[in-house]
Amino acid sequence: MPFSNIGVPPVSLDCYPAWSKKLVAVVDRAMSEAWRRMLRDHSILIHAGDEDTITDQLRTELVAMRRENRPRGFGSAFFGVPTRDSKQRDCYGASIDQSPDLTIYPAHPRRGIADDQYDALFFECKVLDRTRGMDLYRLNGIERFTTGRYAWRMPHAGMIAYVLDKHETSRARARTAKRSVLSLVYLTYRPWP
Amino acid sequence: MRKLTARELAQPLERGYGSPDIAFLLAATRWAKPKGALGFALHGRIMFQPESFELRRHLFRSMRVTGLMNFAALRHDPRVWPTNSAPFVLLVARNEASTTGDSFYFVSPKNEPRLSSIGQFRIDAQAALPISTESVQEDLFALKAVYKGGLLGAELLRRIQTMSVIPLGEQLKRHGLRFSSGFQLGQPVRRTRSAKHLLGLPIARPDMSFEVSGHGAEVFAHQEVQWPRAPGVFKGPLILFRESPHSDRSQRGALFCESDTAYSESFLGLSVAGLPELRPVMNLLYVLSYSDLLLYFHLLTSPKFGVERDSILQSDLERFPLVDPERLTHEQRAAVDALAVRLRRRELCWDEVDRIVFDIYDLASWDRQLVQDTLQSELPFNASTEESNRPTTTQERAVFADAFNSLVEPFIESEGQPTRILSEDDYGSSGWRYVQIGRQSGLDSTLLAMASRESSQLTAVADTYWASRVTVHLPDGSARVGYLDQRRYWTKTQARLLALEWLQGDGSLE
Repeated sequence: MPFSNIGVPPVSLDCYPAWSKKLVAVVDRAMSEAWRRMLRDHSILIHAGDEDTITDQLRTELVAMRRENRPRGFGSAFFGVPTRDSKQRDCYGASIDQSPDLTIYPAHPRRGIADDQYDALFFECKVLDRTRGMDLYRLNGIERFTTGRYAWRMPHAGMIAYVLDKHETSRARARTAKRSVLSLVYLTYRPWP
Repeated sequence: MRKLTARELAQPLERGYGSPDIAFLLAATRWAKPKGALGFALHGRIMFQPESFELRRHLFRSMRVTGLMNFAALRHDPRVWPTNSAPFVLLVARNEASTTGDSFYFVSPKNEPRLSSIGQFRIDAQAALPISTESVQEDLFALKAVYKGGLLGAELLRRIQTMSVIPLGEQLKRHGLRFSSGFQLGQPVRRTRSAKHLLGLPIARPDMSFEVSGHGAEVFAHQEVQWPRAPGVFKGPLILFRESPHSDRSQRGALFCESDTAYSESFLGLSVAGLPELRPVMNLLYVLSYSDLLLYFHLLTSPKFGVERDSILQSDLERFPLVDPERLTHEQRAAVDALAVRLRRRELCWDEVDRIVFDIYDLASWDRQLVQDTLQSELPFNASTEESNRPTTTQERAVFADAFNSLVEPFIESEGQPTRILSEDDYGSSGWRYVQIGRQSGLDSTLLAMASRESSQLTAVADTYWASRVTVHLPDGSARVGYLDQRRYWTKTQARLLALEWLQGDGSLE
């Protein structure tokens, strides 16, 4: 309901509308480009396989790319500075320390959304390799969104998997890292009240 | 009332707030029915003063504020409230405690001389911003930042404050320094204190630019003044910040004084005598004082500047989030030092000043544009009011269209004919201008002609609602967007907001 007078507060949206496909597509392209840069410049870091370190570098690349407006459209005009581990409340109010791995906010709140800290593209990142498999991805990843811990006002969120290929010997680390891939899957779900 | 004040209201009211209006508001929460409506006209300081933060938090916790109308921009308008020149707000609330997730509408009518002259002002539904109650309880500057900078400005301010910055006052304290007010001459009968330490010193005047030098400056000749201040605060080298920023940039920044200088209370002085190692910090502050960013910070945070009086406070300067000078790169430090020298030579190198300061604060190009557009239309100077209200030129509207088109273009490459601003109407006689957004190939010329013909009716409807913008979606997928023909609505930042809204409103993930 649009503004009519100051005696009537804004309608409180329990669930925010989904982001535009066009904006999401640009973020996808940015993720892809960031990963390419990491493979090129930080293959050893990827090969080391530490989730937090990889995510931190991914965020660093995204921050730099936003400044450069690369890929075109992923710039400061439309997107806020990507953040890592930004803390939020869960949907029950039981915890105020929920922190999705990566968050990309719009540069300007969408119309009608007052509490804009919950309006973003939220991502959880997980390493998948020989020792870390899909159970971890589901339990410590997907379910954080589907149980109201993260992104509970949004109808979608992103799961990023760093799928690392560690089959080769240590002598070929750089080459091995280049065979690793970043997988980005969007979950759509019913937001929590 | 007295009992209430004594018992329950004393604590919040003792936290540095002098006016009685809040006592009545708090008392009203006891007198009104639960969930009953409360409506008050209050002094604007309760919403903007950092010192009133605790009291403000208390208010926004203890009642469910539904709307706040801020009349600070119309404080000089005798037709709005003939007997009042103070900034005021209208607050409407429900008599119940606020809960998590609550929000309220914040409306700040703009100063439009054309309307003021006939005793009217615009309450624009487009400008009614939903603000979360939590943000007011968490952020010292939430309302001032939104009032002057909009939601984009509030976000930029938050971002700057979360960088590796330390408030200027704290950084100075580490070196045992602080700003000092200058001498007060006072009325002749009150000039009873010795001012011998000032005798013979060159006097800094507010109409000076860049530097005070011993040559040609008037010298101090009063034996006694009302408040002479301590001799140490006048020791050079020092820099003098102005209490009242001027619209002319050369008289906005600080004055550099290599040697001892007498200055009055119109300045806030910072002496670094005996601390040559602080010369780089001094240069940084000096260059910063001429930058748009410092003025922008004051505009978005100062409880006085742009609200009550058009001056800044010592505490405003002390709160400025200064980057740690140690973290500047070698190149940045060299650039700052070189610019300080050029400014002292009276070179008007504003672009270079802004560029280095924006670089130091890592601001992106659209952040810089936002700062520029905000200062152009929101400063509390007559020139700024005139600039933001004047009709636009063809060239300015073309720049608006170019900005929109270049912003949306990367998002629609795959669709062949991209969505863009296709045309701009000549229909400007009634104070409105329209643009047509759509795809060249899909544009229905009959519809376009009809929409153009109907502009007069559209304008009449928009004026009825006191709108500043009107959007008509046409069946061919295009839209006709009209703005008031005022410069403030045709900036690059406004084009950016329109582009963002256009993209956000498009097909979603679901």
